Amino acid sequence: MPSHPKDRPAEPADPFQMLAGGVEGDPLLMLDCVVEEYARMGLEADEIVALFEDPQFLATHGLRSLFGVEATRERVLSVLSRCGILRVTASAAPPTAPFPCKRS
Amino acid sequence: MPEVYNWQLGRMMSYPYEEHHPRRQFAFVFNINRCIACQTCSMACKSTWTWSRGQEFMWWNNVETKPYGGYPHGWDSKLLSMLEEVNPGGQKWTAQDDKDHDWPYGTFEGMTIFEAAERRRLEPQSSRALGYLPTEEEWRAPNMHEEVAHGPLQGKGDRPGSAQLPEHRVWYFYLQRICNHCTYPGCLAACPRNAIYKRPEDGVVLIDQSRCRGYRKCVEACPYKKSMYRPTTRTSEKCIACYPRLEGRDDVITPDGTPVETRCMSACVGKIRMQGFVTIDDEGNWKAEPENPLYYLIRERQIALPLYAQFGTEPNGFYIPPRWVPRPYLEQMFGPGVQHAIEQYACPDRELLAVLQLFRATRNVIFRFEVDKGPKVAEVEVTMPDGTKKTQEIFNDTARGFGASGELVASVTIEEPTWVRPDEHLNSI
Repeated sequence: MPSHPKDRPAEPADPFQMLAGGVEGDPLLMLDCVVEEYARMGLEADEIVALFEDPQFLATHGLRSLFGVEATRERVLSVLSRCGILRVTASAAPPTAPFPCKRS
Repeated sequence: MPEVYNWQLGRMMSYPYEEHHPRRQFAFVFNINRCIACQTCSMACKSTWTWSRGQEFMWWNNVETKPYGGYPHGWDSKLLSMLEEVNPGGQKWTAQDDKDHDWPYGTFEGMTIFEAAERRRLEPQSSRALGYLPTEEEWRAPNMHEEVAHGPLQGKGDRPGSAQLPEHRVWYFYLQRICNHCTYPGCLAACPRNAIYKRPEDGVVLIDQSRCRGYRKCVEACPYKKSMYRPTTRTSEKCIACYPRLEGRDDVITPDGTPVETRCMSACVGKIRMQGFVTIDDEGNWKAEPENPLYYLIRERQIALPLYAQFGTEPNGFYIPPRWVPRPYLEQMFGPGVQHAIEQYACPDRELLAVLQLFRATRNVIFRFEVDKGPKVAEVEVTMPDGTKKTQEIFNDTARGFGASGELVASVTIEEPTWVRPDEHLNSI
């Protein structure tokens, strides 16, 4: 039996075992779509790149790990050069009560 | 069992109670494409409603990673397997090409959880819907099996005895889930004490805590597993759609009585959520209100689809499906309308683009929108799902959202896009 737990065969009865199956998909398409989404929200290139740097965001950080730091950045810029960054000016009704506020 | 009409299935179906409808229905749209699982929604809900003893495992709002995870673990694949067992090979849709019908997604030819329960003649008789009671292990952690240990990038051997943990392939998407406040709730159907009711004023589904005895039939029957048992009170609890906020009765936030969105919606950083109400007509159908942003996205444009409509509860939560996910997987989850929804969303026309800007533009509930048209400001090349290129026109349009009393609550104007030049062309002008 291999010595390290990670090399041992899966044990379905182990509640901590990673059991879920994958579905074939394209990580590069995912990367492009995520960048387009945040470009539609008006994020700057550096802000979008930062989403891939933060390990707390596992999906985007995982893509960066998969493709590499430089390649990910280049791909982000390439997508932005194609689709642009959507700009909006927004205004919302002011809150009817200041926030935070105290109960009277 | 009585027969009721389910517009999402395009047919009549069996349900334990006669058809009754609220005057208007709480509904919401989540745009999956934009979610990066920051979990702000989960924490907003948790810190508001489920922070007490006995509620430790309760996540009325959770965000799970598909296709790997689920909360409770495997909730959807388990029920899909059970339905398949009852009706082998029969869980199929007949797709509908003509989108103008009352049954926009086609007709579901398979069995719902209520029909499957009849077929199996479940014992005891109080089991009116096919379901199962998750084990305590399955409730244990909302992210089990979904994601992996993370931290600064380190290779094997960077630390003494360190190892590379197994990782999922790096494509997945996040599924945001709250109670769907279904039109035909499985929890309500199953409750032997009639402790669960649907409010006539907004369709919110609630558990009457004074009637509940904690039999957990609702936990078993809710196909989305959004009814949860609390051992300290020995009752079940569920998402209440932050109804004090919907009613404008949160005197801290809106002392003037303005309806505001739920905590999970208001907290959404990624602006993926929109929530509101749809009007129900005398016959129980959605009243045609193309100026209502929810009606517009769900019924008019059909870019937002119900989650597992085939379960038969007519959920009132709708999702804009993610563009990068293989279609057969999405079609199982969101039905046959997936391709149509993604094609429209990938290259939105001017009106749709304007309405999409209203997501999280305000914390007030938007009841009506208008689009003021402006001149064309740009053309953008878009890659369609089939790989072909399409030109999207951008207009200087303004989307305005109006509140319950017709007051302006949000205004978003689309401007000319800016372009990022790749490094190699930075100074080429």
